[in-house]
Amino acid sequence: METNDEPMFMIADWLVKDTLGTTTDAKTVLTSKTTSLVDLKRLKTIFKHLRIEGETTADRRLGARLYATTIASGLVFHEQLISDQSIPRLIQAFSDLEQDGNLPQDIRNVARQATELMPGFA
Amino acid sequence: MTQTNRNNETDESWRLDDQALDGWREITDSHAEQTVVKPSATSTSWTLITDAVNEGSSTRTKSKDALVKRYWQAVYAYVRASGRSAILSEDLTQGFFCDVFLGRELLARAESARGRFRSLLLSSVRNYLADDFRMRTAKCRTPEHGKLMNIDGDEQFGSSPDESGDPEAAFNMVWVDELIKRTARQVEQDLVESGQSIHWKILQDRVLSPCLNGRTPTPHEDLAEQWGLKGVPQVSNMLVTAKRRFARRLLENVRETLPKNYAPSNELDELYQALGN
Repeated sequence: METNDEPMFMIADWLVKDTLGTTTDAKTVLTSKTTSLVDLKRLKTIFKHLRIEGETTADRRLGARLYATTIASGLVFHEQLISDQSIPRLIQAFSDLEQDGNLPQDIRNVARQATELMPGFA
Repeated sequence: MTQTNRNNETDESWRLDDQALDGWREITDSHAEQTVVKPSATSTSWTLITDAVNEGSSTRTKSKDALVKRYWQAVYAYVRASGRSAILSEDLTQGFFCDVFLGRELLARAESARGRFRSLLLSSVRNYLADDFRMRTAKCRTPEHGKLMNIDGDEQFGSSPDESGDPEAAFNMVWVDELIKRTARQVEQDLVESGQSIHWKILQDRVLSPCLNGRTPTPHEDLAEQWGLKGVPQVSNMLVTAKRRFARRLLENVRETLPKNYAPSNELDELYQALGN
């Protein structure tokens, strides 16, 4: 259950801070070139679990988006594809991220850059 | 980018299954939404205040006692930080609760005004101490020639308020401490009653004990092993659930000391600032 008092990204912030032991918020971590690939992989696993086992519909929806964001971030900032998903599926996921008006613009920008990089994998 | 590589993943845990990216826009609520709201064993302040001023209530005395117990430490902290000795602070705190909190119908005024209860309590204590200071110093007039010395030490009459500390900060610190501990008790009860005892244990180990007692948080891996969970991600997500319960209860507890049109976030910001100072 979501409450009006709970910002959409609060859960993301909690998970990022708890997982990485940082005080930095989720948006910054996921859109920074200083976030290591190892940390992105750790977060990807956490968000995947949120996507599947999240307590609420909103949690699971957010988990799916954040999961895709970690992959996009790995691609954009580390030139690594930390996923075995099919290329068309990833392109679709990044495209959805980019078009999601509920997400912070910085994350949508990373998704757009990742989308532009994807043809190199086809 | 000229060279982009697919990362070799030797650790199976990083591998994905199709489910993770599938149909996120069509996620349906296959999980039962956990919207169980359990009646709180720890009554809210307004519930207690309303009951305490209700002359026909059979639990009126109990409610008053509960309120006194809840706010005693905060009032004492204010008095003590204003420069009074420990003994005098105890006496003044006792006097405040007898004379003002219960005697002068502070609760009835609070109930009818429904303003910020913390502010009302603070201003009432401040006024009480000012009255007490005037009364005590009036009894001890300085002679026209020379200063009256107190051979038993200065503490007998106390210092003037705000002379030797930051009473409001001390009050707020204890207020927050009580708020957090009460919220924790409620969350424990909520989680245990809904069969989520492990969620509570994880919240305790990862958040509450480190914050309240300075303990080092137990690593996710250890908690997963201790409770037979499916690795770090499950621990993290269970912690999210527990934190959400805590945040919700905390907001409820803060909200019920505020006027209807006052945002809890403003009060929380103010308390946060008070702790920072």
